[in-house]
Amino acid sequence: MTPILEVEGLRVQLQGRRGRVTVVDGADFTLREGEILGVAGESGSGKTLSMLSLLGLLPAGAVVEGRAMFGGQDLLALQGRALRDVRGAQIGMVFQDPMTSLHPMVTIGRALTEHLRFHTKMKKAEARRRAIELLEEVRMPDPEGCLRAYPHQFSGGMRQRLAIAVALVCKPKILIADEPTTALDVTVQAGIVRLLDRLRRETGLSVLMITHDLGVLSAIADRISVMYAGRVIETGVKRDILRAPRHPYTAGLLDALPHPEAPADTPLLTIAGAPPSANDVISGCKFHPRCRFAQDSCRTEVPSFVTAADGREFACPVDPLPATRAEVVR
Amino acid sequence: MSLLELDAVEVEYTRRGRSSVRAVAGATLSLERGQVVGLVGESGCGKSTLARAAVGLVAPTGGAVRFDGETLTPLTRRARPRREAKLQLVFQDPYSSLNPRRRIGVQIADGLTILGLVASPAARDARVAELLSQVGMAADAADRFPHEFSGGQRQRIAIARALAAEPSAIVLDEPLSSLDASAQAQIANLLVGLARDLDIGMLLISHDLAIVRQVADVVSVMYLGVIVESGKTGEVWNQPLHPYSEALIGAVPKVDGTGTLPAALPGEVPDPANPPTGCRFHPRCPYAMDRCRVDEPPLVAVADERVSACWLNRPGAPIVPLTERSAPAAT
Repeated sequence: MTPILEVEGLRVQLQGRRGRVTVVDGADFTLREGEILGVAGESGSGKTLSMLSLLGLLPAGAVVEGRAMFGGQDLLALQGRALRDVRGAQIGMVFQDPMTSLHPMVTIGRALTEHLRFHTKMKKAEARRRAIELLEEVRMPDPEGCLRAYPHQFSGGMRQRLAIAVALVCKPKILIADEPTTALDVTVQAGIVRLLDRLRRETGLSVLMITHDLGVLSAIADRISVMYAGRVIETGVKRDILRAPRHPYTAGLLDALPHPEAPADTPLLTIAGAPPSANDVISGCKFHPRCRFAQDSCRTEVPSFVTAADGREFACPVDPLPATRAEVVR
Repeated sequence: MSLLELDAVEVEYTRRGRSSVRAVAGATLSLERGQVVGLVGESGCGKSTLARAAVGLVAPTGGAVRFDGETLTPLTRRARPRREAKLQLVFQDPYSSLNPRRRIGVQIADGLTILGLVASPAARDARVAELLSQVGMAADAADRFPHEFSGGQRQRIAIARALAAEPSAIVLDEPLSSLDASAQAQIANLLVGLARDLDIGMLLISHDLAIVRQVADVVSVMYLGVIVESGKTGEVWNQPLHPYSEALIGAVPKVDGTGTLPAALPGEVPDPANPPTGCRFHPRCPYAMDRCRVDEPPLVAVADERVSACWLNRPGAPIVPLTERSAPAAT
């Protein structure tokens, strides 16, 4: 599959009260055409800010370095009109909270057609037809009635379907979805997960899916990139990442999940400590203070991102990873 | 007699100019010392209202809540009986449940001082340090403010504050849902450890089935104000006896890398102000029969420590998976 978006050496610094803080510290990933790439990590790992930087949505005073090649142009260098032509038209975005991502005083019909009219100069009637078609595609009951309704008239799951419809209205090549199911119940989440999977299969959409939920990624992602403290620490095919992780952090995340076959009353395994905040200065590998396998070199040198013979990419010098499981922390 | 008993509890909210809402429509639940009971369900099913009724923050409009054998006094402007301090509540969001302007130690010590559990300031400080260590925090946290801690640490502090009253039961309303994955696992372990070590009964309310599956001894599934199934966690998980439990468990994505899509449950949770006739789940139920549209199935014992409210269940008969059952002859 051909790459559609190639991000290299992405660095994002935000202006904090005590000076600049680095929130994304050299992230590399590639999204291929028609695939769902999952970006996993805990809060504060920089996954959301990486995505916002691609669309020029960072807060004022942010400094971005690196390259993000999409259709022959560097997204990070785009400004003004050129950026607006890409954002919303060629790259759509869905946010975590459907309660706040739709404008409460704009009807669904206007939210859907305003993009089309702006980006494609489509006539009103034609835009309306496309809006109805899209509402059918995301399986909204009564699409005609939807057009006149306001966001508060819908439940969380329905609003997320509407937000996805708004993101897809201009037929973008890429959809960036930031924790699209986190605010939803598990039954509603199942519906959204199935919807994204169907859209990808039917329309060849490429999806960058940010989530901390490895279960969701197991269901629909093709490949997974794991982020920790602003860096991508492991990338690979879903099956490899979930069944035989190569980085100690990925292994720890998986060990911490409740295990369906575990006998009753077995404590959950956990990674010791807590993720660092962006203000903490950590030398070498940022995971070394919490890592069970840390070596002397981990404390001083940033492990380079290597590609193993089997195509696995990871940033850890411990090879092979010992098979012992994580300790129990209370 | 159980430590905490909810007997056909109903909570009805009245709304000015609109019909009233029965958020909890007859829920029965019991909790023993040292036991972790999980209560799961979708948002809007009434779990949080039930939690509030269980500790007396709202007065039930029907049924009864009994704690330690006596009917619980709902919160009013009068002082509540001292013995009810043994029933504590931990809230969902540790960012708003702790006072940002008071030091951690002072907040934890409130319960100790008010209940007269400590004789001197020195004893109070020692007890605060002990409580902090019980939840895995260093003693010097007592002099700091909530903003200096992460979400997981704050939830530990909130738990320490609940423990200060030496409770025999704690109700926890979504204590894990605002936390990160690694912090969730740590707090879940902490709760189970405390329940066992201090012999505390814990009612854990959560929408995260995977966590409840791991930590709860007994699980109750709630739908639109009623409990539809209860039983030992492993048994409910492996063989749900109510179609709603089955749908809820089937919707949890599995982390096995095989790419199996989670099962979808059609439809939405209906408006609790206007619940469906008959079985409240029938409009979404794949097994719904004519009878389900008219008669509400009662919660009946179908096996040892197992209750379910579904017309497909036959009390006393061997347990058969839902998919292999045929509708019983109309009665």
